[in-house]
Amino acid sequence: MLRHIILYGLYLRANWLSLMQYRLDFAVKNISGLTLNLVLVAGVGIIFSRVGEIGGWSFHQVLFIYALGMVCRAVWHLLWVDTLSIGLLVRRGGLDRLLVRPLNPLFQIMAGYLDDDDWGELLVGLVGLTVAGRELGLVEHGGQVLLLGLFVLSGALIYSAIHLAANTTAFWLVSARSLDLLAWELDNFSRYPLNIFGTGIRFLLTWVVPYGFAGFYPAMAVFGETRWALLGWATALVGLGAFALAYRFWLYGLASYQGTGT
Amino acid sequence: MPSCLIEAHDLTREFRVAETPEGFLGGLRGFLKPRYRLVQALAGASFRIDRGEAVGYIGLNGAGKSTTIKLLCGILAPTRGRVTVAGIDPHRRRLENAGRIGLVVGQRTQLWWDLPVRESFQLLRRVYRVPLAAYRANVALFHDLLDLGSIWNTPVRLLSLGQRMRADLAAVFLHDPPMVYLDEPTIGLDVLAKAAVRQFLKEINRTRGVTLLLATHDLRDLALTCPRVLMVHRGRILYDGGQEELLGRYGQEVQVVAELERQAPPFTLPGVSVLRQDAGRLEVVFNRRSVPVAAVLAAVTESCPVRDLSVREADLESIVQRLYGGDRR
Ligand SMILES: Nc1ncnc2c1ncn2[C@@H]1O[C@H](COP(=O)(O)OP(=O)(O)O)[C@@H](O)[C@H]1O
Ligand SMILES: [Mg+2]
Repeated sequence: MLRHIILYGLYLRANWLSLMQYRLDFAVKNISGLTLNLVLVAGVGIIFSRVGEIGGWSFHQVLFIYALGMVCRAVWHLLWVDTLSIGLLVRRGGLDRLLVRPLNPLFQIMAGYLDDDDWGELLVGLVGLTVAGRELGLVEHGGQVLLLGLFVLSGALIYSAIHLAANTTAFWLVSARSLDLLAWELDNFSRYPLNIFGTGIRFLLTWVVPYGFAGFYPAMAVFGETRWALLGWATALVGLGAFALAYRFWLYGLASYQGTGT
Repeated sequence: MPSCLIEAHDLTREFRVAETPEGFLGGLRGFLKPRYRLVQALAGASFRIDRGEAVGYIGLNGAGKSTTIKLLCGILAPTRGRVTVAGIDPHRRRLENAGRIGLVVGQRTQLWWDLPVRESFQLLRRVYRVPLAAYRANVALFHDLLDLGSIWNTPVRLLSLGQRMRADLAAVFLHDPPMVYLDEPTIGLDVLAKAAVRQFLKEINRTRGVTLLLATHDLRDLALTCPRVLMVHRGRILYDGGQEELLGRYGQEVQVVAELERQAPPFTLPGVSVLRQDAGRLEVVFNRRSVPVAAVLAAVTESCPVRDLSVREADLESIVQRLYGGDRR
């Protein structure tokens, strides 16, 4: 365990050094990312300038849910987005290189890349979370902040689990792109209060592709909203459970890895 | 310590390849009910490799070299048969095996693309748990043997193919693996870079006793490095023996092809076999040690008017043909 923590730190450092080889790229991508995310959040504000509430939630509550969703997604995207590239590694045989090293290949995948273009989402999400949290009195003391940190990590883990599972199908399906894309598109729903959607989508986002736990449910726990608080408190468990399941599936897929010809 | 390092018995690997039917409807059918074809990449290979050996693994494209190496590295599981490397099953105990081997694949790097070479080495040191003293000694040695110093601080993406191969070679030997697999390491390199690779392999095998399995379809890779040769063809081991014997017997063969102006009387010359003769063409083969090339050329041009003449040295393809077809004359 300690070995893996140290190695994770070393990999992060290497990834950061790699990013800094392309400083200008990095700056341009993140400025445009920042702008895009600001526009998205402004969109929430614009809706609330017309209506007083959405699904029973005030502006600051919706902003809180939205921002929590952004931070969960950004942490996944920045640290572990390569769970999304596993399909490619499988189809192109890049996995071979990872399999001949004395280190868990999934660890190598998840530690091996730091994203360059999603720092804007993280920043906007954190600011949104702070602004809304203050207004709602939800980030008053260290304990609350720590709890939010735990929820964010769990949410990022859920993202990883979903993409890991979707991409693992590449071991059997030659064209698994459709599943990856579905997983990618569905996360759009995770930032909105789930109760504004119909039962079908709610069920889907809770029990099948549990993006609901990467924003909405943990926010409910923090709000003390009795209808969903129980699910909210289970967020960390769901995160670990989902990842454990996806990991089992990945191991199962790995056993039938064929590689590519020549 | 037993001297046998690798033991492969009836090693077989099949691949399932999805058939893609034509057209839209076909594509739909393929998606709903995929059909598979089995490709047998390795068909019952058995061999042993002792510690400290340097073995050349030759075969044409698609013969099964890479598949064998992937099985030995534990990347793939065999469909049938078994293999042990230093007493363990490399697929079942992949992580354990991985710490004791190295794999070089031509034109694919295992280094961090955007980082200077030295950063990759420092990471690999931690991944393979190389003690600092051993690390320093090895890096110093590779500075000598591979001129690492000139590329030590250069990002990998800026290296030429030859420089990158030097860095990759050093990286793979960094943790003193007892076994190193090389899959076409010289492919695409220029003459000088090829020579550097061969020289280094010979040196490291001699001084460190590292066991090498070198897959290639370039016979020149063998000369310096590999006293023993395994030849694979269509997934089967066709030859297992000395390099001298193989090249001495078949490597000296020369083939002469003549385009003829018109029909000529049947060609004969002691020590020369006619592979084919018809109205427009004459093909003969002979051993240059027993019959001089010049004598054959003279005899051919004398026996009939020749429009064009070409001389082909033995290469892997002709050797495979001879071994596979047997001595059909
Ligand atoms: N992952 C794979 N899927 C399907 N066919 C494969 C795969 N790997 C190898 N093959 C096939 O198996 C045969 C042997 O391939 P390979 O071992 O790569 O040959 P070599 O390395 O000697 O060129 C070839 O016909 C190749 O197309
Ligand atoms: Mg090959």
